[in-house]
Amino acid sequence: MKGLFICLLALLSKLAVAQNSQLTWVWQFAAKAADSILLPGHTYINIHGEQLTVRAFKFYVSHLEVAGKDEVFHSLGDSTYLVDLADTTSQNIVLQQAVAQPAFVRFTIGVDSNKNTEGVQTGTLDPARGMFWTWNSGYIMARLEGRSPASGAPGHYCTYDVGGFREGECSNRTVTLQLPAIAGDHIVIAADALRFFYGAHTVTIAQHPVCHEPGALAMQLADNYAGMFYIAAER
Amino acid sequence: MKRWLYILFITACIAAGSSFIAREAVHTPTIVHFDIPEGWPKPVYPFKENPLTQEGIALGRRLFYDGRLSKDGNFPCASCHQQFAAFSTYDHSLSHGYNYTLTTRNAPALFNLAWQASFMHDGGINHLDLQPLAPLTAPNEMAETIDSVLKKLRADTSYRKQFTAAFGDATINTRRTMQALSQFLLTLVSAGSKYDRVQRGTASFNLPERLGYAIFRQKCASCHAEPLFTDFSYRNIGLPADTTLNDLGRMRITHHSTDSLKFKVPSLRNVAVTAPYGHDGRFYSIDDVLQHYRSGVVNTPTTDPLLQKGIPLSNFEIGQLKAFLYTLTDSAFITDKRFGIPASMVLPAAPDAGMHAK
Repeated sequence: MKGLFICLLALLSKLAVAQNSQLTWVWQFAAKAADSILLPGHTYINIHGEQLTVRAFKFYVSHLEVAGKDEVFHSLGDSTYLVDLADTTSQNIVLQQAVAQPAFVRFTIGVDSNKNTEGVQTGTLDPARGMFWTWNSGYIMARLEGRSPASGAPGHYCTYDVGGFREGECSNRTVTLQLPAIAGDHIVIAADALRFFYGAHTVTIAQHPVCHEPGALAMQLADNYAGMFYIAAER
Repeated sequence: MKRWLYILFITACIAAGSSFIAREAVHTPTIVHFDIPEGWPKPVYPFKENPLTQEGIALGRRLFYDGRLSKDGNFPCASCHQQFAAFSTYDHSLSHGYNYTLTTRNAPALFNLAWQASFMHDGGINHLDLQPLAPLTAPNEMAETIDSVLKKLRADTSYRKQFTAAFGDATINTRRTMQALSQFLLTLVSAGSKYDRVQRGTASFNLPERLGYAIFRQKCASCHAEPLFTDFSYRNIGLPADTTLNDLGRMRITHHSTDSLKFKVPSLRNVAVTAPYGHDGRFYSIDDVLQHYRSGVVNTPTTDPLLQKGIPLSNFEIGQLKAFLYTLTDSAFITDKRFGIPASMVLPAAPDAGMHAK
Protein backbone atom coordinates (compact mmCIF):
# COMPACT_ATOMS: atom_id res chain seq x y z
CA MET A 1 0.00 0.00 0.00
CA LYS A 2 2.82 2.34 0.93
CA GLY A 3 4.60 1.33 -2.29
CA LEU A 4 1.64 2.41 -4.37
CA PHE A 5 1.57 5.84 -2.73
CA ILE A 6 5.26 6.33 -3.37
CA CYS A 7 4.80 5.35 -7.01
CA LEU A 8 1.98 7.86 -7.36
CA LEU A 9 4.03 10.61 -5.73
CA ALA A 10 7.00 9.89 -7.99
CA LEU A 11 4.75 10.04 -11.05
CA LEU A 12 3.22 13.38 -10.01
CA SER A 13 6.57 14.99 -9.28
CA LYS A 14 7.93 13.78 -12.62
CA LEU A 15 4.99 15.44 -14.40
CA ALA A 16 5.66 18.70 -12.59
CA VAL A 17 9.32 18.62 -13.57
CA ALA A 18 8.42 17.94 -17.20
CA GLN A 19 6.21 21.01 -17.25
CA ASN A 20 8.89 23.20 -15.71
CA SER A 21 11.65 22.09 -18.07
CA GLN A 22 9.79 23.83 -20.93
CA LEU A 23 10.36 27.46 -19.95
CA THR A 24 7.56 29.87 -20.65
CA TRP A 25 8.30 33.00 -22.60
CA VAL A 26 6.05 36.04 -22.73
CA TRP A 27 5.72 38.35 -25.68
CA GLN A 28 4.05 41.53 -24.53
CA PHE A 29 2.72 43.84 -27.21
CA ALA A 30 2.69 47.44 -26.00
CA ALA A 31 0.60 49.95 -27.94
CA LYS A 32 2.41 53.23 -28.49
CA ALA A 33 1.87 56.56 -30.20
CA ALA A 34 5.43 57.61 -31.03
CA ASP A 35 7.10 57.62 -27.58
CA SER A 36 3.90 57.79 -25.55
CA ILE A 37 1.79 54.91 -24.30
CA LEU A 38 -1.29 54.68 -26.53
CA LEU A 39 -4.51 54.98 -24.53
CA PRO A 40 -8.05 54.82 -25.89
CA GLY A 41 -9.76 58.20 -25.88
CA HIS A 42 -6.50 60.13 -25.78
CA THR A 43 -5.38 62.48 -28.54
CA TYR A 44 -2.09 62.20 -30.38
CA ILE A 45 -0.50 64.08 -33.27
CA ASN A 46 0.86 62.21 -36.28
CA ILE A 47 3.94 63.09 -38.32
CA HIS A 48 1.83 65.31 -40.60
CA GLY A 49 0.64 67.41 -37.66
CA GLU A 50 -2.85 65.86 -37.73
CA GLN A 51 -4.67 65.20 -34.44
CA LEU A 52 -5.98 61.70 -33.84
CA THR A 53 -8.15 60.52 -30.94
CA VAL A 54 -7.87 56.74 -30.91
CA ARG A 55 -10.91 54.55 -30.25
CA ALA A 56 -9.66 51.14 -31.40
CA PHE A 57 -6.31 49.61 -32.27
CA LYS A 58 -6.01 45.89 -32.89
CA PHE A 59 -4.17 43.49 -35.15
CA TYR A 60 -3.66 39.81 -35.81
CA VAL A 61 -0.25 38.20 -35.35
CA SER A 62 0.57 34.71 -36.58
CA HIS A 63 3.50 32.49 -37.60
CA LEU A 64 5.47 33.37 -34.47
CA GLU A 65 9.09 32.22 -34.74
CA VAL A 66 12.35 32.51 -32.83
CA ALA A 67 16.02 32.09 -33.79
CA GLY A 68 19.30 32.01 -31.94
CA LYS A 69 22.47 33.68 -33.18
CA ASP A 70 22.57 31.10 -36.00
CA GLU A 71 19.44 32.79 -37.47
CA VAL A 72 17.72 29.45 -37.94
CA PHE A 73 14.08 30.13 -37.14
CA HIS A 74 11.92 27.74 -35.14
CA SER A 75 8.13 27.86 -35.14
CA LEU A 76 6.37 28.76 -31.90
CA GLY A 77 3.11 27.12 -32.91
CA ASP A 78 0.23 27.52 -35.35
CA SER A 79 -1.90 29.89 -33.28
CA THR A 80 -3.15 33.23 -34.49
CA TYR A 81 -3.42 35.93 -31.84
CA LEU A 82 -5.59 39.04 -31.83
CA VAL A 83 -3.79 41.85 -30.02
CA ASP A 84 -6.29 44.46 -28.86
CA LEU A 85 -5.59 47.81 -27.20
CA ALA A 86 -8.82 47.44 -25.21
CA ASP A 87 -7.95 44.01 -23.80
CA THR A 88 -4.80 43.75 -21.66
CA THR A 89 -4.90 39.95 -21.60
CA SER A 90 -4.69 39.85 -25.39
CA GLN A 91 -1.46 41.86 -25.27
CA ASN A 92 0.45 39.12 -23.46
CA ILE A 93 1.20 36.02 -25.48
CA VAL A 94 2.54 33.15 -23.41
CA LEU A 95 4.77 30.78 -25.38
CA GLN A 96 7.13 27.89 -24.76
CA GLN A 97 10.76 28.89 -25.18
CA ALA A 98 12.15 27.03 -28.22
CA VAL A 99 15.85 28.06 -28.21
CA ALA A 100 18.19 28.57 -25.28
CA GLN A 101 19.43 32.02 -26.25
CA PRO A 102 16.93 33.79 -28.49
CA ALA A 103 18.50 36.46 -30.69
CA PHE A 104 15.74 37.13 -33.21
CA VAL A 105 11.94 36.96 -33.32
CA ARG A 106 9.86 36.88 -36.45
CA PHE A 107 6.09 37.03 -36.93
CA THR A 108 3.44 37.87 -39.49
CA ILE A 109 1.07 40.73 -38.91
CA GLY A 110 -2.03 39.21 -40.46
CA VAL A 111 -3.85 35.92 -40.91
CA ASP A 112 -2.65 33.03 -43.06
CA SER A 113 -4.38 33.01 -46.47
CA ASN A 114 -5.74 29.49 -45.89
CA LYS A 115 -7.70 30.70 -42.87
CA ASN A 116 -9.35 33.26 -45.16
CA THR A 117 -10.80 30.59 -47.43
CA GLU A 118 -11.68 27.63 -45.20
CA GLY A 119 -15.07 28.66 -43.90
CA VAL A 120 -15.92 29.80 -40.39
CA GLN A 121 -13.02 29.68 -37.90
CA THR A 122 -13.22 29.65 -34.10
CA GLY A 123 -11.37 31.30 -31.21
CA THR A 124 -9.54 34.52 -32.05
CA LEU A 125 -10.50 34.00 -35.69
CA ASP A 126 -14.24 33.75 -35.01
CA PRO A 127 -15.92 36.27 -37.37
CA ALA A 128 -17.90 37.37 -34.30
CA ARG A 129 -14.72 39.15 -33.16
CA GLY A 130 -15.58 41.77 -35.77
CA MET A 131 -12.31 41.47 -37.68
CA PHE A 132 -13.85 39.82 -40.74
CA TRP A 133 -15.41 41.21 -43.90
CA THR A 134 -18.60 39.26 -44.51
CA TRP A 135 -19.36 40.73 -47.98
CA ASN A 136 -15.89 40.10 -49.39
CA SER A 137 -14.61 37.10 -47.43
CA GLY A 138 -11.40 37.79 -45.62
CA TYR A 139 -9.91 38.98 -42.36
CA ILE A 140 -9.23 42.54 -41.33
CA MET A 141 -5.57 42.09 -40.46
CA ALA A 142 -5.23 45.37 -38.57
CA ARG A 143 -7.56 48.14 -37.45
CA LEU A 144 -6.93 51.70 -36.30
CA GLU A 145 -10.02 53.78 -35.60
CA GLY A 146 -10.65 57.16 -34.12
CA ARG A 147 -11.65 60.72 -34.87
CA SER A 148 -9.61 63.55 -36.28
CA PRO A 149 -10.37 67.18 -37.13
CA ALA A 150 -8.35 66.53 -40.29
CA SER A 151 -10.84 63.90 -41.47
CA GLY A 152 -13.48 64.98 -43.97
CA ALA A 153 -15.42 61.74 -43.45
CA PRO A 154 -18.80 61.96 -41.68
CA GLY A 155 -18.36 62.66 -37.96
CA HIS A 156 -14.67 63.37 -38.59
CA TYR A 157 -14.09 59.67 -38.17
CA CYS A 158 -10.99 58.07 -39.51
CA THR A 159 -11.18 54.30 -39.79
CA TYR A 160 -8.48 52.08 -41.19
CA ASP A 161 -9.50 48.47 -41.69
CA VAL A 162 -6.59 46.85 -43.48
CA GLY A 163 -6.99 43.44 -45.08
CA GLY A 164 -6.68 41.42 -48.25
CA PHE A 165 -5.11 38.01 -48.77
CA ARG A 166 -5.33 37.45 -52.52
CA GLU A 167 -2.33 37.72 -54.80
CA GLY A 168 -1.57 41.34 -55.58
CA GLU A 169 -3.65 42.51 -52.60
CA CYS A 170 -2.04 40.56 -49.78
CA SER A 171 -1.71 42.73 -46.70
CA ASN A 172 0.17 40.19 -44.57
CA ARG A 173 3.62 41.49 -43.63
CA THR A 174 6.49 39.65 -42.00
CA VAL A 175 8.33 41.41 -39.21
CA THR A 176 11.78 40.41 -37.93
CA LEU A 177 13.22 41.98 -34.80
CA GLN A 178 16.61 41.58 -33.18
CA LEU A 179 16.58 40.98 -29.45
CA PRO A 180 18.99 42.60 -27.00
CA ALA A 181 21.84 40.45 -25.65
CA ILE A 182 19.95 39.57 -22.49
CA ALA A 183 16.34 39.20 -23.55
CA GLY A 184 15.02 37.37 -20.52
CA ASP A 185 11.73 35.49 -20.29
CA HIS A 186 9.59 38.52 -21.04
CA ILE A 187 10.07 40.67 -24.13
CA VAL A 188 8.15 43.85 -24.86
CA ILE A 189 7.29 44.49 -28.51
CA ALA A 190 6.17 48.07 -28.96
CA ALA A 191 3.64 48.83 -31.73
CA ASP A 192 3.60 52.49 -32.71
CA ALA A 193 0.13 53.19 -34.16
CA LEU A 194 1.26 56.48 -35.68
CA ARG A 195 3.39 54.49 -38.12
CA PHE A 196 0.20 53.89 -40.14
CA PHE A 197 0.83 57.34 -41.62
CA TYR A 198 4.45 57.22 -42.71
CA GLY A 199 7.28 54.87 -43.62
CA ALA A 200 7.20 53.38 -47.10
CA HIS A 201 4.30 55.67 -48.05
CA THR A 202 2.93 59.01 -46.95
CA VAL A 203 -0.68 58.63 -45.82
CA THR A 204 -2.50 61.63 -44.42
CA ILE A 205 -5.81 61.54 -42.58
CA ALA A 206 -6.95 64.50 -44.69
CA GLN A 207 -6.44 62.63 -47.94
CA HIS A 208 -7.32 59.10 -46.77
CA PRO A 209 -9.62 59.14 -43.73
CA VAL A 210 -11.06 55.69 -44.51
CA CYS A 211 -9.85 52.29 -45.65
CA HIS A 212 -12.55 49.62 -45.68
CA GLU A 213 -11.46 47.10 -48.28
CA PRO A 214 -8.45 45.31 -49.69
CA GLY A 215 -6.56 47.17 -52.39
CA ALA A 216 -3.90 49.79 -53.01
CA LEU A 217 -4.47 51.89 -49.87
CA ALA A 218 -4.61 48.79 -47.65
CA MET A 219 -1.29 47.65 -49.13
CA GLN A 220 0.30 51.04 -48.43
CA LEU A 221 -0.95 51.06 -44.85
CA ALA A 222 0.37 47.51 -44.37
CA ASP A 223 3.78 48.52 -45.75
CA ASN A 224 3.81 51.37 -43.26
CA TYR A 225 2.72 49.53 -40.13
CA ALA A 226 5.07 46.63 -40.88
CA GLY A 227 7.64 49.08 -39.54
CA MET A 228 5.76 49.98 -36.36
CA PHE A 229 7.32 47.28 -34.17
CA TYR A 230 10.45 47.51 -32.08
CA ILE A 231 11.76 45.85 -28.95
CA ALA A 232 11.17 48.16 -26.01
CA ALA A 233 13.42 48.27 -22.99
CA GLU A 234 10.80 48.25 -20.25
CA ARG A 235 7.34 46.78 -19.76
CA MET B 1 -2.54 -5.67 -0.76
CA LYS B 2 -5.45 -8.02 -1.58
CA ARG B 3 -7.92 -5.45 -0.29
CA TRP B 4 -6.37 -2.88 -2.66
CA LEU B 5 -6.76 -5.13 -5.63
CA TYR B 6 -10.41 -5.64 -4.68
CA ILE B 7 -11.04 -1.88 -4.47
CA LEU B 8 -9.26 -1.37 -7.79
CA PHE B 9 -11.45 -4.00 -9.42
CA ILE B 10 -14.68 -2.43 -8.12
CA THR B 11 -13.56 1.06 -9.25
CA ALA B 12 -12.73 -0.22 -12.71
CA CYS B 13 -16.17 -1.84 -12.95
CA ILE B 14 -17.91 1.39 -11.96
CA ALA B 15 -15.83 3.42 -14.42
CA ALA B 16 -16.55 1.06 -17.29
CA GLY B 17 -20.26 0.95 -16.42
CA SER B 18 -20.68 4.70 -16.19
CA SER B 19 -18.85 5.30 -19.45
CA PHE B 20 -21.17 2.79 -21.09
CA ILE B 21 -24.21 4.63 -19.70
CA ALA B 22 -22.75 7.97 -20.84
CA ARG B 23 -22.30 6.63 -24.34
CA GLU B 24 -25.90 5.51 -24.37
CA ALA B 25 -27.09 8.94 -23.19
CA VAL B 26 -25.21 10.90 -25.86
CA HIS B 27 -27.09 10.20 -29.02
CA THR B 28 -24.78 10.24 -32.03
CA PRO B 29 -26.18 12.21 -34.96
CA THR B 30 -27.57 10.22 -37.86
CA ILE B 31 -25.45 10.63 -40.97
CA VAL B 32 -27.32 11.64 -44.12
CA HIS B 33 -25.88 10.62 -47.46
CA PHE B 34 -25.69 13.38 -50.06
CA ASP B 35 -27.00 12.05 -53.36
CA ILE B 36 -25.38 13.37 -56.53
CA PRO B 37 -27.89 13.37 -59.39
CA GLU B 38 -26.87 11.15 -62.28
CA GLY B 39 -24.50 12.80 -64.71
CA TRP B 40 -23.78 15.79 -62.47
CA PRO B 41 -20.27 16.90 -61.59
CA LYS B 42 -18.74 16.38 -58.13
CA PRO B 43 -19.91 18.92 -55.54
CA VAL B 44 -17.33 21.48 -54.41
CA TYR B 45 -18.58 21.80 -50.81
CA PRO B 46 -16.15 20.15 -48.32
CA PHE B 47 -18.61 17.67 -46.79
CA LYS B 48 -15.80 16.00 -44.84
CA GLU B 49 -15.54 19.05 -42.59
CA ASN B 50 -19.28 19.31 -42.10
CA PRO B 51 -20.95 15.96 -42.72
CA LEU B 52 -24.71 16.10 -43.17
CA THR B 53 -26.74 14.71 -40.30
CA GLN B 54 -30.47 14.58 -39.68
CA GLU B 55 -29.98 16.65 -36.53
CA GLY B 56 -27.76 19.24 -38.25
CA ILE B 57 -30.18 19.65 -41.15
CA ALA B 58 -33.14 20.03 -38.77
CA LEU B 59 -31.24 22.69 -36.81
CA GLY B 60 -30.27 24.52 -39.98
CA ARG B 61 -33.85 24.45 -41.20
CA ARG B 62 -35.06 25.98 -37.94
CA LEU B 63 -32.38 28.69 -38.11
CA PHE B 64 -33.36 29.45 -41.71
CA TYR B 65 -36.94 30.15 -40.67
CA ASP B 66 -36.17 31.85 -37.33
CA GLY B 67 -36.72 35.62 -37.26
CA ARG B 68 -34.46 35.89 -34.21
CA LEU B 69 -31.51 35.84 -36.56
CA SER B 70 -32.53 39.43 -37.44
CA LYS B 71 -32.40 42.54 -35.27
CA ASP B 72 -36.15 43.04 -34.82
CA GLY B 73 -37.21 39.43 -35.30
CA ASN B 74 -39.00 40.13 -38.58
CA PHE B 75 -36.41 39.04 -41.12
CA PRO B 76 -35.48 35.37 -41.11
CA CYS B 77 -33.47 34.10 -44.08
CA ALA B 78 -36.80 32.88 -45.43
CA SER B 79 -38.22 36.40 -45.66
CA CYS B 80 -36.16 36.99 -48.81
CA HIS B 81 -35.77 33.35 -49.82
CA GLN B 82 -39.26 31.96 -50.27
CA GLN B 83 -39.67 28.30 -51.15
CA PHE B 84 -42.50 28.83 -53.64
CA ALA B 85 -40.16 31.16 -55.58
CA ALA B 86 -37.34 28.56 -55.52
CA PHE B 87 -35.99 30.50 -52.51
CA SER B 88 -35.79 33.88 -54.24
CA THR B 89 -38.04 36.82 -53.30
CA TYR B 90 -41.35 36.52 -55.13
CA ASP B 91 -42.27 39.51 -57.31
CA HIS B 92 -39.62 41.83 -55.84
CA SER B 93 -36.82 43.40 -57.84
CA LEU B 94 -35.16 44.28 -54.54
CA SER B 95 -36.03 42.78 -51.17
CA HIS B 96 -37.17 44.41 -47.94
CA GLY B 97 -34.78 44.62 -45.01
CA TYR B 98 -34.74 45.89 -41.45
CA ASN B 99 -36.28 49.31 -40.73
CA TYR B 100 -37.99 49.85 -44.10
CA THR B 101 -34.75 49.47 -46.03
CA LEU B 102 -34.33 47.90 -49.43
CA THR B 103 -31.53 45.68 -50.61
CA THR B 104 -29.45 46.79 -53.61
CA ARG B 105 -29.61 43.50 -55.48
CA ASN B 106 -32.20 40.90 -56.42
CA ALA B 107 -32.26 38.01 -53.94
CA PRO B 108 -30.85 34.98 -55.75
CA ALA B 109 -32.72 31.68 -55.79
CA LEU B 110 -31.17 29.02 -53.54
CA PHE B 111 -30.61 25.51 -54.79
CA ASN B 112 -27.76 23.21 -55.85
CA LEU B 113 -25.43 25.20 -53.58
CA ALA B 114 -23.08 22.24 -53.06
CA TRP B 115 -21.80 22.87 -56.59
CA GLN B 116 -21.21 26.58 -56.07
CA ALA B 117 -17.73 27.77 -55.03
CA SER B 118 -18.47 31.46 -54.47
CA PHE B 119 -21.56 33.36 -53.48
CA MET B 120 -23.41 36.63 -54.09
CA HIS B 121 -23.85 38.21 -57.54
CA ASP B 122 -20.24 39.43 -57.36
CA GLY B 123 -18.79 36.20 -55.96
CA GLY B 124 -17.32 38.05 -52.98
CA ILE B 125 -17.96 35.21 -50.51
CA ASN B 126 -15.71 32.21 -50.85
CA HIS B 127 -17.41 29.54 -48.70
CA LEU B 128 -21.02 28.51 -48.18
CA ASP B 129 -20.51 28.50 -44.38
CA LEU B 130 -19.53 32.19 -44.50
CA GLN B 131 -22.40 33.25 -46.75
CA PRO B 132 -25.20 33.76 -44.17
CA LEU B 133 -22.99 36.18 -42.19
CA ALA B 134 -23.36 38.80 -44.94
CA PRO B 135 -27.17 39.21 -44.90
CA LEU B 136 -27.17 38.65 -41.14
CA THR B 137 -24.95 41.68 -40.49
CA ALA B 138 -25.98 43.93 -43.41
CA PRO B 139 -27.87 46.98 -42.05
CA ASN B 140 -30.36 46.81 -44.94
CA GLU B 141 -31.06 43.13 -44.46
CA MET B 142 -31.18 41.37 -41.09
CA ALA B 143 -29.14 44.13 -39.38
CA GLU B 144 -27.93 41.92 -36.52
CA THR B 145 -24.54 41.26 -34.97
CA ILE B 146 -23.16 37.74 -34.74
CA ASP B 147 -22.72 38.05 -30.96
CA SER B 148 -26.31 39.10 -30.45
CA VAL B 149 -27.65 36.19 -32.49
CA LEU B 150 -25.47 33.74 -30.54
CA LYS B 151 -26.76 35.21 -27.26
CA LYS B 152 -30.37 34.70 -28.35
CA LEU B 153 -29.68 31.12 -29.40
CA ARG B 154 -27.76 30.30 -26.20
CA ALA B 155 -30.62 31.59 -24.09
CA ASP B 156 -33.03 29.13 -25.69
CA THR B 157 -33.08 25.67 -24.07
CA SER B 158 -34.52 24.02 -27.14
CA TYR B 159 -31.67 25.39 -29.29
CA ARG B 160 -29.13 24.09 -26.76
CA LYS B 161 -30.74 20.66 -27.10
CA GLN B 162 -30.62 20.85 -30.89
CA PHE B 163 -26.98 21.93 -30.97
CA THR B 164 -26.15 19.05 -28.61
CA ALA B 165 -27.99 16.61 -30.86
CA ALA B 166 -26.22 17.91 -33.97
CA PHE B 167 -22.71 18.53 -32.66
CA GLY B 168 -22.31 16.45 -29.49
CA ASP B 169 -22.39 19.23 -26.89
CA ALA B 170 -24.27 22.42 -26.15
CA THR B 171 -21.59 24.82 -27.41
CA ILE B 172 -23.24 27.41 -29.64
CA ASN B 173 -20.74 29.38 -31.69
CA THR B 174 -20.47 31.04 -35.09
CA ARG B 175 -19.00 28.01 -36.80
CA ARG B 176 -21.64 25.55 -35.64
CA THR B 177 -24.49 27.94 -36.39
CA MET B 178 -23.22 28.50 -39.91
CA GLN B 179 -22.42 24.82 -40.46
CA ALA B 180 -25.97 23.89 -39.47
CA LEU B 181 -27.37 26.46 -41.90
CA SER B 182 -25.10 25.05 -44.60
CA GLN B 183 -26.34 21.53 -43.89
CA PHE B 184 -29.93 22.60 -44.52
CA LEU B 185 -29.00 24.70 -47.56
CA LEU B 186 -27.02 21.82 -49.07
CA THR B 187 -30.11 19.62 -49.02
CA LEU B 188 -31.88 22.10 -51.33
CA VAL B 189 -31.12 20.11 -54.46
CA SER B 190 -33.30 20.82 -57.47
CA ALA B 191 -32.93 18.02 -60.00
CA GLY B 192 -36.53 16.91 -60.54
CA SER B 193 -37.83 19.13 -63.34
CA LYS B 194 -39.42 17.85 -66.53
CA TYR B 195 -36.09 18.54 -68.23
CA ASP B 196 -34.42 16.13 -65.75
CA ARG B 197 -37.07 13.49 -66.34
CA VAL B 198 -36.50 13.81 -70.08
CA GLN B 199 -32.76 13.36 -69.52
CA ARG B 200 -33.45 10.21 -67.51
CA GLY B 201 -35.78 8.92 -70.20
CA THR B 202 -38.92 8.94 -68.04
CA ALA B 203 -40.63 11.79 -69.91
CA SER B 204 -40.43 13.40 -73.32
CA PHE B 205 -40.56 16.98 -74.57
CA ASN B 206 -43.50 18.11 -76.65
CA LEU B 207 -42.71 19.82 -79.96
CA PRO B 208 -42.25 23.44 -78.74
CA GLU B 209 -40.13 22.23 -75.82
CA ARG B 210 -37.95 20.17 -78.11
CA LEU B 211 -37.49 23.04 -80.55
CA GLY B 212 -36.81 25.38 -77.65
CA TYR B 213 -34.17 23.01 -76.26
CA ALA B 214 -32.37 23.07 -79.60
CA ILE B 215 -32.44 26.90 -79.61
CA PHE B 216 -31.23 26.93 -76.00
CA ARG B 217 -28.28 24.70 -76.82
CA GLN B 218 -27.38 26.85 -79.77
CA LYS B 219 -27.81 30.32 -78.27
CA CYS B 220 -27.78 30.14 -74.44
CA ALA B 221 -25.85 27.07 -73.27
CA SER B 222 -22.37 28.58 -73.61
CA CYS B 223 -23.01 30.47 -70.35
CA HIS B 224 -26.01 28.60 -68.91
CA ALA B 225 -24.25 25.25 -69.18
CA GLU B 226 -26.07 22.01 -68.38
CA PRO B 227 -26.72 20.32 -66.04
CA LEU B 228 -26.54 23.21 -63.54
CA PHE B 229 -27.55 25.76 -66.19
CA THR B 230 -24.70 28.10 -65.26
CA ASP B 231 -20.95 27.98 -65.79
CA PHE B 232 -20.48 30.17 -62.66
CA SER B 233 -18.53 32.74 -64.66
CA TYR B 234 -18.90 36.51 -64.27
CA ARG B 235 -20.10 38.40 -67.32
CA ASN B 236 -21.33 41.79 -68.39
CA ILE B 237 -24.48 41.09 -70.37
CA GLY B 238 -24.65 44.67 -71.60
CA LEU B 239 -26.58 46.21 -68.73
CA PRO B 240 -25.56 49.80 -68.00
CA ALA B 241 -25.26 50.50 -64.26
CA ASP B 242 -28.39 51.87 -62.61
CA THR B 243 -27.34 55.37 -61.53
CA THR B 244 -29.10 55.07 -58.16
CA LEU B 245 -27.23 51.86 -57.31
CA ASN B 246 -23.92 52.30 -59.17
CA ASP B 247 -23.22 48.61 -58.79
CA LEU B 248 -19.97 47.66 -60.49
CA GLY B 249 -20.43 43.96 -59.71
CA ARG B 250 -17.37 41.76 -59.73
CA MET B 251 -15.06 44.78 -59.89
CA ARG B 252 -16.08 45.64 -56.34
CA ILE B 253 -14.33 42.44 -55.25
CA THR B 254 -11.34 42.18 -57.61
CA HIS B 255 -10.73 45.92 -58.25
CA HIS B 256 -9.90 45.03 -61.85
CA SER B 257 -11.45 47.42 -64.35
CA THR B 258 -11.86 44.43 -66.68
CA ASP B 259 -14.44 43.09 -64.20
CA SER B 260 -16.57 46.22 -64.29
CA LEU B 261 -20.33 45.49 -64.52
CA LYS B 262 -19.79 41.74 -64.47
CA PHE B 263 -22.14 39.56 -62.43
CA LYS B 264 -22.35 35.83 -61.87
CA VAL B 265 -24.30 33.87 -64.51
CA PRO B 266 -27.42 32.67 -62.66
CA SER B 267 -28.80 29.17 -63.08
CA LEU B 268 -31.87 28.91 -65.31
CA ARG B 269 -33.33 26.12 -63.25
CA ASN B 270 -36.73 27.18 -61.87
CA VAL B 271 -36.46 30.36 -63.94
CA ALA B 272 -40.22 30.57 -64.41
CA VAL B 273 -40.77 31.13 -60.67
CA THR B 274 -37.85 33.43 -59.88
CA ALA B 275 -38.96 36.71 -61.56
CA PRO B 276 -37.86 39.48 -61.57
CA TYR B 277 -34.52 38.94 -63.31
CA GLY B 278 -31.09 40.52 -63.51
CA HIS B 279 -28.75 41.34 -60.62
CA ASP B 280 -30.93 44.34 -59.71
CA GLY B 281 -34.19 42.74 -60.79
CA ARG B 282 -34.76 45.25 -63.60
CA PHE B 283 -36.47 42.71 -65.86
CA TYR B 284 -39.95 41.77 -64.73
CA SER B 285 -40.52 38.89 -67.10
CA ILE B 286 -38.66 36.33 -69.18
CA ASP B 287 -39.92 38.29 -72.22
CA ASP B 288 -38.13 41.40 -70.94
CA VAL B 289 -34.88 39.44 -70.58
CA LEU B 290 -35.10 37.96 -74.07
CA GLN B 291 -35.98 41.36 -75.51
CA HIS B 292 -32.80 42.69 -73.87
CA TYR B 293 -30.67 39.98 -75.46
CA ARG B 294 -32.35 40.59 -78.81
CA SER B 295 -32.06 44.38 -78.95
CA GLY B 296 -31.04 45.95 -75.64
CA VAL B 297 -27.38 44.99 -75.15
CA VAL B 298 -25.27 48.09 -74.49
CA ASN B 299 -21.68 47.74 -75.60
CA THR B 300 -19.05 48.93 -73.13
CA PRO B 301 -15.43 47.75 -72.92
CA THR B 302 -16.42 44.81 -70.70
CA THR B 303 -19.57 43.67 -72.50
CA ASP B 304 -19.27 39.93 -73.08
CA PRO B 305 -17.87 39.11 -76.55
CA LEU B 306 -20.65 36.56 -77.02
CA LEU B 307 -23.26 39.29 -76.62
CA GLN B 308 -21.79 42.33 -78.34
CA LYS B 309 -24.11 41.84 -81.31
CA GLY B 310 -26.96 40.65 -79.11
CA ILE B 311 -28.63 37.26 -79.58
CA PRO B 312 -30.73 37.09 -82.72
CA LEU B 313 -34.12 35.65 -81.72
CA SER B 314 -37.34 35.68 -83.72
CA ASN B 315 -40.69 35.95 -81.98
CA PHE B 316 -41.28 32.33 -82.93
CA GLU B 317 -37.97 31.27 -81.39
CA ILE B 318 -38.78 33.16 -78.20
CA GLY B 319 -42.01 31.18 -77.92
CA GLN B 320 -40.19 27.87 -78.30
CA LEU B 321 -37.40 28.92 -75.96
CA LYS B 322 -39.88 29.83 -73.24
CA ALA B 323 -41.62 26.48 -73.66
CA PHE B 324 -38.27 24.86 -72.93
CA LEU B 325 -37.43 27.16 -70.01
CA TYR B 326 -40.74 26.24 -68.35
CA THR B 327 -39.58 22.61 -68.29
CA LEU B 328 -36.85 23.68 -65.85
CA THR B 329 -39.40 24.31 -63.08
CA ASP B 330 -39.00 21.68 -60.36
CA SER B 331 -42.45 21.68 -58.80
CA ALA B 332 -41.53 18.91 -56.38
CA PHE B 333 -38.66 21.06 -55.08
CA ILE B 334 -40.74 24.19 -54.50
CA THR B 335 -43.41 22.23 -52.61
CA ASP B 336 -41.20 19.73 -50.78
CA LYS B 337 -42.30 19.75 -47.13
CA ARG B 338 -38.75 18.96 -45.94
CA PHE B 339 -37.65 22.39 -47.12
CA GLY B 340 -40.62 24.33 -45.79
CA ILE B 341 -41.10 26.00 -42.42
CA PRO B 342 -41.13 23.46 -39.56
CA ALA B 343 -44.68 22.74 -38.38
CA SER B 344 -43.98 24.23 -34.94
CA MET B 345 -42.90 27.63 -36.32
CA VAL B 346 -44.73 30.69 -37.64
CA LEU B 347 -43.09 32.94 -40.21
CA PRO B 348 -43.01 36.53 -38.97
CA ALA B 349 -44.73 39.07 -41.20
CA ALA B 350 -42.57 41.96 -42.37
CA PRO B 351 -43.53 45.17 -40.54
CA ASP B 352 -44.47 46.77 -43.85
CA ALA B 353 -46.54 43.78 -44.93
CA GLY B 354 -49.65 45.96 -44.57
CA MET B 355 -48.35 48.24 -47.31
CA HIS B 356 -48.84 45.41 -49.78
CA ALA B 357 -52.42 44.59 -48.72
CA LYS B 358 -55.21 46.75 -50.01
